[in-house]
Amino acid sequence: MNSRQGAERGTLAAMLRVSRPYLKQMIIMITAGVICSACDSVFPLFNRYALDHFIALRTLDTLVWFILLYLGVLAVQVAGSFISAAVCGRLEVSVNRDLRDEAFRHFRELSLSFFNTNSVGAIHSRVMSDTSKIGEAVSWKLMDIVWNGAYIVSMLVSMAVISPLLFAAIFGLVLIAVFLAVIFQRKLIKVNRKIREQNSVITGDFNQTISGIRAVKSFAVEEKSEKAFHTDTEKMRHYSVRAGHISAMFAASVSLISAAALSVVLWQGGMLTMEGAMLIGTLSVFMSYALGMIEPVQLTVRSVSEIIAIQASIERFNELLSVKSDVSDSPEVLAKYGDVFAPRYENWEPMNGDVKFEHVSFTYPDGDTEVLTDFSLDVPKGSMVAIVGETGAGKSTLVNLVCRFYEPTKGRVLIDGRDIRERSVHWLHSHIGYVLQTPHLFSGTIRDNLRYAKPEASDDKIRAALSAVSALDIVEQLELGLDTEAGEGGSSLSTGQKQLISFARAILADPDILILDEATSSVDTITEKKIQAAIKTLTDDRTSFVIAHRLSTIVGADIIIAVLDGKIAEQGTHEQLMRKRGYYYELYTRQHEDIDILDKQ
Amino acid sequence: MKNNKKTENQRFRSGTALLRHELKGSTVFFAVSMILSALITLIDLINPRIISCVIDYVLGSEPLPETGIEAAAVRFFGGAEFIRGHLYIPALLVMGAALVGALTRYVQSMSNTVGAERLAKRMRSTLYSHVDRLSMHWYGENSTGDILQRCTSDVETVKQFVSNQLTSFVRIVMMIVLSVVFMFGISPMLTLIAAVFIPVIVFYSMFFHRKIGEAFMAADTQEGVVSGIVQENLTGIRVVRAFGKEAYECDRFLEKNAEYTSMWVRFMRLMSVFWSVGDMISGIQVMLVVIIGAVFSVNGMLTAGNYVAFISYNAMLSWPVRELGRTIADLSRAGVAIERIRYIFNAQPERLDGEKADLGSTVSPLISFEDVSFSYNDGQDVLKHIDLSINKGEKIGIIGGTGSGKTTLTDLLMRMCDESRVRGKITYRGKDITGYPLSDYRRQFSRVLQEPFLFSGTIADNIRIAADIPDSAVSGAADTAVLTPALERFTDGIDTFVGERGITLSGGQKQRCAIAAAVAEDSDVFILDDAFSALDAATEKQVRSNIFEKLADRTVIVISHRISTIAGCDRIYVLDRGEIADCGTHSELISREGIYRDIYELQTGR
Repeated sequence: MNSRQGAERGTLAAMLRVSRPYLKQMIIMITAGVICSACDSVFPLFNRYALDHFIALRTLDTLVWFILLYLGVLAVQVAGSFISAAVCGRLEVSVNRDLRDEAFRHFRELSLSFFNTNSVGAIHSRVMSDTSKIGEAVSWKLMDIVWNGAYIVSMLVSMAVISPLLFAAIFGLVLIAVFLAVIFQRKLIKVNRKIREQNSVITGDFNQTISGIRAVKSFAVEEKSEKAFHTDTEKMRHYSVRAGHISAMFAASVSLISAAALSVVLWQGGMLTMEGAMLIGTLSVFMSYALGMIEPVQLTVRSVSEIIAIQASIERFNELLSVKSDVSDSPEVLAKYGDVFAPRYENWEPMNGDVKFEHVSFTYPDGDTEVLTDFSLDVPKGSMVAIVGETGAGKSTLVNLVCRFYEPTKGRVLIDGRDIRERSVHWLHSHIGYVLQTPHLFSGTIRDNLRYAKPEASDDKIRAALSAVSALDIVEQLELGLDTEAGEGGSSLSTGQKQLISFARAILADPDILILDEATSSVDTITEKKIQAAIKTLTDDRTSFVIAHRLSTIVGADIIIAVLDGKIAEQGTHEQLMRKRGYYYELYTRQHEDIDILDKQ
Repeated sequence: MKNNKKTENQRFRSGTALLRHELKGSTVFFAVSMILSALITLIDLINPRIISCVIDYVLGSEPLPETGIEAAAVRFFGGAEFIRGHLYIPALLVMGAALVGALTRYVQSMSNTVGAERLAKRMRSTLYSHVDRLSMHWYGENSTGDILQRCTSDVETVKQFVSNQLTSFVRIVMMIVLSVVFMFGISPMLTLIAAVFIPVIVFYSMFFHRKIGEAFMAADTQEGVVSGIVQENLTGIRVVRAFGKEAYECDRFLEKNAEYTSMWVRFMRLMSVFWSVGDMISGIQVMLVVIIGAVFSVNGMLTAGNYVAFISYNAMLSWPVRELGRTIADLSRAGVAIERIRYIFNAQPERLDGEKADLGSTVSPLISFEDVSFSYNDGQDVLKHIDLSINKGEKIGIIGGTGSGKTTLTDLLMRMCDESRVRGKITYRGKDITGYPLSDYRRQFSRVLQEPFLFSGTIADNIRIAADIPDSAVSGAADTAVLTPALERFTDGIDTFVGERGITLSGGQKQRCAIAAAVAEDSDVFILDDAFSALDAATEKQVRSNIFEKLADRTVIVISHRISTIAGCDRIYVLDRGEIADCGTHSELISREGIYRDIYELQTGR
């Protein structure tokens, strides 16, 4: 119970936090809303005046004033409703925008290991849909409570003034209505949560089919996945009907309570009237109150519980915001180098490119085995480090440390003789070019994708970068050349083409340290060979780390590191390692044995 | 077979036709709901009558009229005098009417819900079965996010409209008719003045509904843009980081988000204008009735009692007329949503079923391409004059430059491309491939994609994706694909959750998982599209020899850049810029000059 209250307080605090910048607008919204409903309650007075004055006295003497006043009140009421609704809508989207901005700014804090366990879809829905729920709560839901709450209070007060006895009876019924409403809402929220979960399952199903359509068709699993989908929609239908059942029961019992209030007033009030203790007019006023009371009570309870229910959204959102990067710059570093949004380029040193591992030990945050133990390696500027080993052996670990995607658990990584942590991540990344095995292109043209590395790059520069990786011919073969749309995630290009373009993109940024993680695994051999030559010139005065399966591509490396089962097995030059006749020797000689056998035949 | 007719019918000339089709199975529920909501409107009139009777005849001193339902009811319960002594009688009657009302309300609301959920389920299911049959070609032209939005939130909008607005529409019309009838009984002249506003409000709403629809559509599209940026930044986070583009992306997002916000503010302002002008029109209407009624009354054309009654009936009119406007306004949103859904339904799906074809015959060659050319758009050909033939049980290698059309070739074979753009003839078992029922045909092939896709579920689920096989066979397939050693690193082993709702696998793990799935599918033709690119030589060799051993009698097509991968094949095709440049066995190809030998020399250093 305590934790629940704590959570509800948390919800309130969060709502206050997001709406603080809009305090003025909120005051305007509430004031306009109150004025609007005050005007609403004035209109019956006009009817009474018409009845008591014009009709009773058979005169139209004040008709002009009557019309003017009526129009005046109407104008105020319309203005009030316009202002409150417009401000409310603006408040909703502003809060929405602020939360989304905040979430997006927070993306840089999300470490890459976070993405291994949290799907893109889940993060996406926190940014897009949880925020819009919070926005709705602080605007429309709040407005509902203000409107209905004010209405209820004013009615209760006038009832208490007119007849305390009947007021007590009706108040009792109102309490029952509140009680029922709370119970039903609690049930509803539970079912609604299930509906939302099921809804995201259905969205996930659609998403999977749409983004994995190639696999769906290749496996010809359309009918199978349709069957699975039917189960999911059936579940959705089931929960929704249950929610409908609860709502319908709720509505029915509320209308019964409302009728009970009416009966009580009719019966007891009628007796009071006959005893002369109450006027008929008063009785009819009471009856209209008794009738009009229950709906706002119901609406208020609903809005309150909906606000309570967004607690889940707030928790999910806060959870995202509380994710702390595994790697972050110290305040001193930030003060000197600035952050990504306000880099202080004037303090940035150029990078030379000497990399040094000093007694580095490392364990992945989500793993329990130490993958590096007391590892030391000196990589002077311009040298090429090749990392080879079996699939899944942990070849990316060193690269992850150089890029500071992770930090060593012990020891340190030095760049140009200084601890990598002494300078900002942004400084580091601005000097590193990283080409991935699974290249990611953005939607837009090939030119747009290349310019991603250097927005001001001219077409000549872009061509030069493409030709450096022997991709210019391939791009120019495409009908639209540089203007070819890459498609979503580069879907309209082949994997090899994507790899080449992402390689060229890295080159265009002119990095001091170049990291090639299986960068050309899907590129054909002839192109790859041409790239080899290009890489030689490219990496003459750049430090480079190359992860490769095709060993022919790394024979010339200055240092070859062979990784086995997550640990470094051997290191040295190709000649040294071949002489050693160890693991690398085995890897190297075995890669062509199939061909050797054939050739011998 | 049974989907045959449906596929042909799923072309809708209008949104209404689509809606009518989707409403099958839920119409009855909506009909019941509409009838009951009309009934509820009538029941709701009972209690005010009881009250006015009690006030006029029981508590007040009005004489009981000779005729009329009310008078008869009063007499039935023992006359005004008797009721005065037993006031609980009208109180119980109120409760009784309320009970009937509550029951009706419950049934109405339930049948409405059941109808709405049936409608939603049917829409989702038909959409799903349609979407997964649309061609790759169609997918190339439409963005994932947009399709997704049409399939999810647009369906929700339509459901909300049909269930909330359609039944309340009956109630609204009923209330308008009833109050106009009552008012007409009191003063036809005044009724005419009051009713003049009905078309005014309705036309006003219709005018606005178009504007609101446009503004909503613009804001909605912009939200898609914002959502797309978020998606891209999450999927491409490594690239964003690697280039230190966080600030650039953030600026882009803030700009688009601000644009979206201002569009939405514009939409909300329009809505506020719509609401408050509606308030104003109905306020003026009420005022006119109050004033003109008073004038009538002063001139003796209306009694005081009738004046009060008329005003309260007029008040009863004002809510439903406003709601009518709202319903019409909501119609625009629903109309937009239906149109967006219709766009999807009107895309031509692939026909998965058809005449059951005889796939048992063994004609040689198993697969043949005769002078096949293909282009994605009207532009240059991606494949030119391809001739090839593959016999049953042969192991075929394909090698070629980046973008030379290797994957397209297998796409054509599996009928993944726009078949109207294919020139030449492709046959399977001696018959043109377009003659086979698509689904059966594709099941003849197991293809491992270059960039494998994992379905949400466990690794085991992914392995048995195409074939329901026992656990032992699943682990057998995992062994064949050399996936088992990798599984040992996960605590849940083969039952580890992957895909959208699970962990992320490395490239090599994904590829072996996809290979295992293809092995499990156990089709006649195996296609490995650069399926080993993320594997090291030793692992690849192991996987390859496992596959070739297990699939000795199957036809296997291997696409690769590595000579070692395809050297052992019975025949190797060398593709160059969409054309077959050479063909032969490994030893034939290295014995003559050409691309293959160049590659061979480069890779082996000989």
